[in-house]
Parts: sequence; C-alpha cells; structure tokens
Amino acid sequence: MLEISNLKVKIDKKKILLGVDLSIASGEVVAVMGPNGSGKSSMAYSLMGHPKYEVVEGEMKLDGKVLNEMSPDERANAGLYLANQYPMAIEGLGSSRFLWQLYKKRHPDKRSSIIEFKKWLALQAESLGLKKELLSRGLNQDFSGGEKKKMEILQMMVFSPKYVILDEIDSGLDVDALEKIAKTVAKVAKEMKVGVLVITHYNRILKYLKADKVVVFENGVVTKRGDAKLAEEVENKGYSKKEDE
Amino acid sequence: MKKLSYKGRSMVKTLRVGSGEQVSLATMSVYDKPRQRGEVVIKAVVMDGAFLDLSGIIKIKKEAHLAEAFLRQKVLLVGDKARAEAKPELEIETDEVKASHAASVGRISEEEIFYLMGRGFSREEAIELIIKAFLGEEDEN
Amino acid sequence: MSKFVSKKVEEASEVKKTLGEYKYGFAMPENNVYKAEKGLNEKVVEKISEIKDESEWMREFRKKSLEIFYKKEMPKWGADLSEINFDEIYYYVKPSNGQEKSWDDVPKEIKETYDRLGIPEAEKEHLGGIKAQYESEVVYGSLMERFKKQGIVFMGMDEALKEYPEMVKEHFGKLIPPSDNKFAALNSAVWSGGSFIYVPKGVKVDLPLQAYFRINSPKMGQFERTLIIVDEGAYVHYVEGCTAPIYSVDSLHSAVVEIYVKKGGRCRYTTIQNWSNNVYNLVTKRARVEEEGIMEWIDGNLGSKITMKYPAVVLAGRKAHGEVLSIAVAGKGQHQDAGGKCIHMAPETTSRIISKSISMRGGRSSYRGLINILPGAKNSRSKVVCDALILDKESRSDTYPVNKIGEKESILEHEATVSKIGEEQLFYLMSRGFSEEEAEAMIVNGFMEEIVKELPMEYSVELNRLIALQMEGSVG
Repeated sequence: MLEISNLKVKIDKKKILLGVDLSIASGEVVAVMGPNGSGKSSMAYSLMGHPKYEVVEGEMKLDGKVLNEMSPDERANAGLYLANQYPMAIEGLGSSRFLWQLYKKRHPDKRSSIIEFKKWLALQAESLGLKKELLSRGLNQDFSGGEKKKMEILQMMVFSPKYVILDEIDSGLDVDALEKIAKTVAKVAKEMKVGVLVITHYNRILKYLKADKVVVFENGVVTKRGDAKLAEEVENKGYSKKEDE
Repeated sequence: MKKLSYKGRSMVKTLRVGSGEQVSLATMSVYDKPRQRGEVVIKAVVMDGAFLDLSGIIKIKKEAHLAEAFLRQKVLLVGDKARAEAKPELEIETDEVKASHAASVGRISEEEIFYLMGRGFSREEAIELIIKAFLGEEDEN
Repeated sequence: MSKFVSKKVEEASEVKKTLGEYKYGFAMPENNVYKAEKGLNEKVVEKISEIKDESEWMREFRKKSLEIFYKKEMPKWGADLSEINFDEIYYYVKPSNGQEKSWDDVPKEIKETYDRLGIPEAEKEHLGGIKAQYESEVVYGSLMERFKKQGIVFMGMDEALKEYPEMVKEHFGKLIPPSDNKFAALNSAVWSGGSFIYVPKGVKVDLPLQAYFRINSPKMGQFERTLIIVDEGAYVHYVEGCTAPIYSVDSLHSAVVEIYVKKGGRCRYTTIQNWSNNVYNLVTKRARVEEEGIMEWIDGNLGSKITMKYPAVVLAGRKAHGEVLSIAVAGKGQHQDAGGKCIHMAPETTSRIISKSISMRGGRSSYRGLINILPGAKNSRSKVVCDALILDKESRSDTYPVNKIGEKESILEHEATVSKIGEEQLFYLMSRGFSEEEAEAMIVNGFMEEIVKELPMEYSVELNRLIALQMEGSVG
C-alpha cells in the first residue's frame, strides 16, 4: 500500500498541497485528475523526494515504511518509480549502458549476462515502439517528447517497481504510442501486482489503463472521489468547486 | 584606433567598422550579487581594409549565485581585407550559474547575394540589405 | 598503462635482475661517484652533453638555448609560476633507480588511489617512483623487428641523435625554436629522453606506440624532447603517460614535442598526465601539417599543481585538418591552464577544438585558446567548443579564447558554457535508485564522454574510475 495522509507541501515558500489523503494498493490503478496548477505533479515530486518540495505536514508511507526523511534513491530502492513528465537528458550517458547499470542495481541477485539483457531490452523497446538506434544515444539526448515518455516506460520495465507514478505520461503522445504504453502498464499492474498512480488531464489513457479509483484534485486538495465513471463525468463537465465529502 | 568600452550585464551593440577604420570594442559584465541575469549581444560588420578588436568579459564572482550570463559576438567580414579578433572571456568563481558565450565570424553568403540580385538589386544594394538585416536581426534565442 | 604489458614487464625485469644487468638511458660513468648537482649553469649543460657524448652541433645548441633562457622573461599570463625556484632543481640525471626514495615517502593519497584502482604491487612501486622500469628486449624485441622491416624508426631521442643525425638536425628545434618561450629554451638546454619516431611514406603503424615500448626508457623524464615525423600518406598513433597518479620528486617538468605531418599523413598524439600535486607541468607542443594531412592532439590533464599546455597545430597546406580534444580536471590546489591553438595558413583548412573541464574542491580550470585564420586561408573553417563543469562553490573556471580572422572567406565559431551538475539531472538519476555520489559520477562521465571515447580502452576505464574517486572527496 502506498499511503498519503494529510500531505501539506510548500515550494518556494508557496503552499501547494493543502492536506492530501490518498492510497494506492498493490495492483490497484488510481487516476488523479485536475486542472493545471492543482498540485497533481507536486504530489508526484513530493512522493519521490524532490529537493525543491518541502513537506510541512503529513506522511507518506510505502508498505509501512515512512518515506518523509528518505532521499530519492532510498525511495527508489524501496520500490517507488516515477515516470517523469519532463524526463531529463543526460548528455554522453549511453542509454543502453545506463539501463544495464540500472538493471544490475535493482536486481543484484539475477545472473543475466549483458548479452541476454540487451536482447530482452531490444524486445521491450520494440513492443513500446521505441527505435533501436535510440538505445545507443545518450539518455534522452535529442529524443522527441514521445520518445522520452517511452524511455520512461522502458526504464520502468527494467526497474520492476512496486508502485509506479505516471506523471502526465499521455501529454505529447500520439494515439498509437498512448495505447502501447497504457496497455504495457496495465499488464504490469495486473501481472506483477504493481500499484499505479496515473496523473492525467484527459480520459484517453484510461481507456486502455482501467482505473479502479478516480480522484479529482483542485487547489491542492482532493475534491472528488469515485470510480471510473467519475473520469468520464469530469471529461464531459469539466472541473467544478469542492463538494463536501 | 577608435576605442569603445562598455560596462554592463545586458546590452545590444551593433556597429559598422567602415573602410580602413580600426576599432576596438570592449564589454565588461560583472556579476556580484545573487540572481542577476544578463545578456550582451554584439553585432558588427567590418568593411574593406578595416580591423575590429572585439573583447568581452563576463566575470561572475563568488557571491553571484544563480547568475545567468550570456555573451554573443557576431561578426560579418564584408570587405576584402577586413580583419577581426574576437575574444569572449569568462571568469567564474561559483558553481550555481548558467553562463555561456558564443562568437562567430563569417562572411556574407554568395547565395544570399545571388538571391537578392535575382530580385533586381545590384550587388552593392544586396550587400547593404544583408548588412542591415544582420545588424537589425532579432536574436534567435 | 596496459595491464597486459605491465605484467610482462614485471616478468621481464625479474629475468633482467638475475642476469645482473641493466641499462638506464645512457651510459653511466664507471666510477659512479659524482653527486647530483642542483641549479642551472653552463657547466651543468656542458656536463649533460658530455655524459651523452653528443656532437658539437647539439652542444652548441644547448649552450645557445641556455643564453636565451636567461634572457627570456617569465610569461605574463597564465598560471602563477612565481614559486618556481630554478636554483633548487636538478637538471640532469641523478644516480639512477632512486635508491634514496622509499615507499614511505610516497604520499598517502597516492598509495590509496593505487589500491582503489587495483594496481598490482610491482607496478605500484614503479609508479611511486621507487623502481625504474627495465624494459626487456625479449618482450619488445619482436615488435621492434617488425617495425624495422617496415622502415619505422622508433627509439629514444638520445639514440636518434646518434643514429639519424641528419634527419634530426633538419627538424629539431625548427618548429619550436628555443626562442619560442622561456620553457622551450629551458628544455632545449637540458633536454634528456623523449621519443623519436619516423614513419615512412604510406606506412600505417597498426598499433599505438607507447613511450615505454622504447628500450631503456625511464617512466617520464623531466625534460623530455619528442620529435615525430610522419611521411606522406603515413599514419601513427603515439600514446604517453598514464591515468594512475605518478609521484615525482622533480617539481618542474617541461617537455617539448615537435611533430611534422607531411602531405596526406595523419598523426594522433594522446597524452594522459597525472603528476602528483607538487609538479609544475609546462609543456610546449606543436605540429605542422602539410596538404591534406591530419593532426589530432588528445590531451588529458588530471594531475600536477600547475599545468600550462596548449597543443598547437599549424595548418600549412591546403585542406589540412587539426584537432585538439582536451580534458582537464582541477581538484584541490590545482590549476589546469590548458587549451589549444590552431593557425590556418592555407586555404580550405579546418580545425576543431573541444575542451571539457571540471573544477572541484577549490580547483581552477582555465581554457586558453587561439584560432588564427590568416589572410589567404580562404574557405577555412574552425569550431571551438569549451564546456566547463564546476562542482562546488570553492572552485573556479575561466575561458580565454582569442579568435583572429584575417580572411573574410572563412568561418569561425566558438561556444563556451559553464554549468554545475543540474539538480534536476541529479534528482532524475537518484529517483532511479542511484546514490548522490553515483549520480554525480554518471553525469560527469557523460560530460566527458565525447573525448573519453577517443582514448584507448584501458585509459578510458581508468579515467572514469579515477574521476569518480576524486569526486568522492567532494560530496557531502
């Protein structure tokens, strides 16, 4: 279970999350929707421990472990994976080489050879529609927006997380790519019992990645909770004022 | 030698160094407090037998965290015996900065001249148009 | 240094010891009773020439160079050289194989670095300056035989002076005359050791030549003099130095390297320097390239207290091409003042300088460069990219480029950026489970990748590890 209780967060002295309560169980898909500036991405970064986000109150727990004081790498080691909205390019850091290092770090007990790994990697890349040549480039170096998102998912597959946060993975993706990515995540959630937090503006991705719970964010708090139908409602009617819980 | 010198973090200077002239243009940009930002853009055209000595220094001191400093020097050598020296310098004493400079020296492309001549302009008129465009150019940043 | 080679040398030196013989570069006087003399004067210079049994021409050359050295002023730019005391320096060979030194004298940090890099025992002592290296004719004999058959000449500079006097005289000190700068004058007066390479027309040397392939070479001399002549259409790659830190009692190292690349020839010269932090490393390197020739300087500056080094390429013939790829890492107490120079004298010449520097823990890294496109060098192009990474608030980075264009039919571009390791990049890698140290090292390696990938493999692996070690001290 990934639990967020009464999370209050500041960035640059500005209050951005004003008391968020949310939980994602293993294998559960929770969709977070809301207008720009509502705090959705801030929650993703706060969960991952981005230094700019200051947690003022509240708690984040992953399978009972309190995340608040942990550094980003400690949270990753606990099994949390963030698919970034704006993935960083690291010049000169070969993608394929990086993924191998990531693999070795996450699975120290596994004994695959680098050749076996590369073969597996090529298959995964193909299933995501990621061109092979990109693997020999620097990480995200000169990748298009869509290619970067696919690379985030490829990394996720190497990483094998317990909980995944998809921060607006659908923005900038064409229909085809969106379908591939969504289906991949859905499969991973079901088969590997991975908890998924999908942060999104639109309904589209939820066509392929069925949400068990839907939550609406507005002005730094959760204003509505429901199931998949809520997503459609929001899509049709837009966001409205906070309802009493 | 005509000497021009400017101090400041942000400025745009354009100049023509006319036939046979010798000009030195120096800019000095000092960053000494946190969060300062600046951009210096120098564009110059050098005509026949002229010489331009272009130096530009960006100095970012220890206290100037989060400075963002840019310097661009662009020189077009138009005249036959035109010469230029471009010396963009950086001295950086702290780490939280973004600083870059670029200098480029080139000539007017024959293709551009040919294109304009094909629209009825004489060679001299074409060159003049290109120079005006170069000097009045919006920076592509 | 190649691990394979060093193991063979280890074996060979054992063989040599049992045979009870060693050579050290030049003949030692039978009565090995003289004491090493400090300071520089005409007597010292004459003694050097006498010990080496040199021709009149070279003796006079040395003496004239000394006079020039006295007259020349110290450079008014660059790093701070005020603490060099010329009178405290030994200018010629001390009694060999460093018996005065013991393992205890080698600085602790250096010993620790050797451990971390996994360097074998015998090699450690050699690198620590304790034992001189003894090459074995057994190991390299067959290599040298092959070279001889191809007409390739590869020997120590001292030897070359005796065996190829005409060729040497024709080229020695012509590209870098003693009057070039004070330290070129110094080297010209007291030089000893270094390599001489001649590659005949059309011959492509198929493996990188390394300094210690030479029979009887000391690890790295103070005042090495190297001369390389690549004849038309030929190719050679020469490699010197090694990434592991070398402890040197000699505080002044001033080498001179002259390279001639004839029409259509190509030369690549790779240096990795990692002198201990007491060394002043002041080097003059220049190549002259004829029509359609190519010169590539790959320059890695990791060590020394102060390095001043600007490999230069004179593009003398049409379509000649020159490159300087430079890496500088300046740590605590270090100043790397490095860069490159390209002079375009002929039409359609091209040059490229890429400089990547890192400053950490108070180190200072400066790029100093010159591009000079002379009138007549029509349709020449030059591109310079210098990127600097500053890792903390105590460190410093400077860029001092000079771009001279006297030919309007040419294009020159220069870009420089200075940055620190991006917080977002760090967070990104850490969010994948890498510690802050690991993430920093990955970013730094990526930063230098463009140049590191041009290094022979064993260098690039060691280089990355070395930098990671240096950085460990700087984090947290």
